Amino acid sequence: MTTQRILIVDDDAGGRMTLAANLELDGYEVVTAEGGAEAVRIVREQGPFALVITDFRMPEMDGLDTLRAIREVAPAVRIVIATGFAEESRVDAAVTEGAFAVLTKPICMERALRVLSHALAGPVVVVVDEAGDANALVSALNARAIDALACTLDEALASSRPLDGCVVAVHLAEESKLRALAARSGTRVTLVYVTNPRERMPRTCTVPGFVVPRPIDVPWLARTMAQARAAT
Amino acid sequence: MTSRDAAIGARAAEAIASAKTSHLRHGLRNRLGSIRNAAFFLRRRARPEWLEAEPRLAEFLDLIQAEASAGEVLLAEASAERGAGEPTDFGSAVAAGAATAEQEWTSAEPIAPGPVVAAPFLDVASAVKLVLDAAAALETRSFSVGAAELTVAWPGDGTDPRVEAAHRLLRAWGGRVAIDREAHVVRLALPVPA
Repeated sequence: MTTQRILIVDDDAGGRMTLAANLELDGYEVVTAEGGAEAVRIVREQGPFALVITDFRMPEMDGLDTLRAIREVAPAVRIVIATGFAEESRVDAAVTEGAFAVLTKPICMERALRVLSHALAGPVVVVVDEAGDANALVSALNARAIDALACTLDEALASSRPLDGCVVAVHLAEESKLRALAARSGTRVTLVYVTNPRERMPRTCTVPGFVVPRPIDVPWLARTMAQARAAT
Repeated sequence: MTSRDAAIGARAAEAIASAKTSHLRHGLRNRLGSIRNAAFFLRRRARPEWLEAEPRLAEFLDLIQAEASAGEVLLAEASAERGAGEPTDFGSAVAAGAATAEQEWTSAEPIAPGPVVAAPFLDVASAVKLVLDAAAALETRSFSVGAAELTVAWPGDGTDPRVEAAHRLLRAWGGRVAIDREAHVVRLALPVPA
C-alpha cells in the first residue's frame, strides 16, 4: 500500500513541526511549507498529495489564496483549514469553495488526526434525487472539490466507498435504508432532506437530518459538510 | 495639544493596546498548543520499557499536556471576558484609534502631488508610531487593503527611520507607501477593513 502524502502549510514552526511529527507517527509521509507560495511550488514540483492542511492567517498568502492557488495546480486535492479565527468571512469563503473541514487552532491533535484520517479515507456525499437534479448538484459539489455521487439508496448501500453525507429527495427517502446507510458508515452521516415547494416531511422520516427547500443552497451544503467533518 | 487631540490619542493608544493584548493571547495560545502537541507526540513515541522504568515520564508528559491545555483555557476565558475572540487586525487597530478623526486624515482620493495634508491631531512621530505599534502588535498578520490614506510629514533632514520601517512593513503587507524625501513627506495607504 502506498503511503499517503500530506502537505502541511504553516508559518508557525512549532505548529508545523508538531503536526508533522504526529502524522509521521501515524505512517503518513509529510512535507511542510512555511507559506502559500512555497506550498504551491511544492504541489507543482512534488505532487500529488492526498491532503493539504493549511494555516489560515499567514503573511503574503492567506489560507483562501493558498487554497485557490493549490486548486489551480491540483483541483481535486482535499484541503483542510486550520485557524484560530473561524468566524472570518474569508474562512467561510474557503469553506464554501470546498475546504474539507476547518480545524480550530491551537490544534487538538487527537481530533486533528481523526479528521485528517477521515479526509484521507475519501468520503463521498451521495445524492439521491431525480437524475437531472442529482447530476446538477453533484456537478456543483465536484466543482468545489467535494466528492459527490448521484445514486439510489440501494446503490449507496451496496457501494464500498465511505460516505459521510447523504442528500435525499423527501419522496425517495426510505426510513429503513437511511438507517442502514447510517449504520453502515463508520462515521456520522450528515443527512439532508430536499423538499419541493409546499411538500411536507412525511411522518415516516424520523432519521434526524436537515430539511431544506429545493433548489439546495450549495454553499450552505459545503459549509454544513465542513462543520460536520470537523466534528468527526 | 488640545483636549480633543488627547482624547483621540487615548483612543488610539487603547486600540493599539487592545490589539497587542489580543495578539499576545493568540501567540501564547499557539505556543501552548505546540508544547501540548509536542508532549502528545513524545507520549505516543515513548517506548513501553521507558515508561515502565520511569513511571514519572508518562506522568510528566501527561502533566505538560494538561497544564498547557489549562493555560489555553485561561487565555480563551480571558478573551471571552474582554469580548474579543480574535485580535483586531492591523487596519482595525489603526482605524479604530483614529476613527473620529477620519475626516481630517483619511481620503478615498488617489494620492496626488500637492500640499502636505498633515494629520492635525498627530505629529509625525506619533502618526508613524501609531502605524508601527499597530504593525508590531500584529507583525505576522495579513489583512485586506482599503482606501483610507494617511499623509504625514516630518521635520529635519533625511527620512525618519520609523517611516522607513513603516514603509517596509506596509509594502510587505500590501499597503501602499510613497516617500518624498525632498519634501519630507510620506504618504501611507493604510490597509483597513473593507
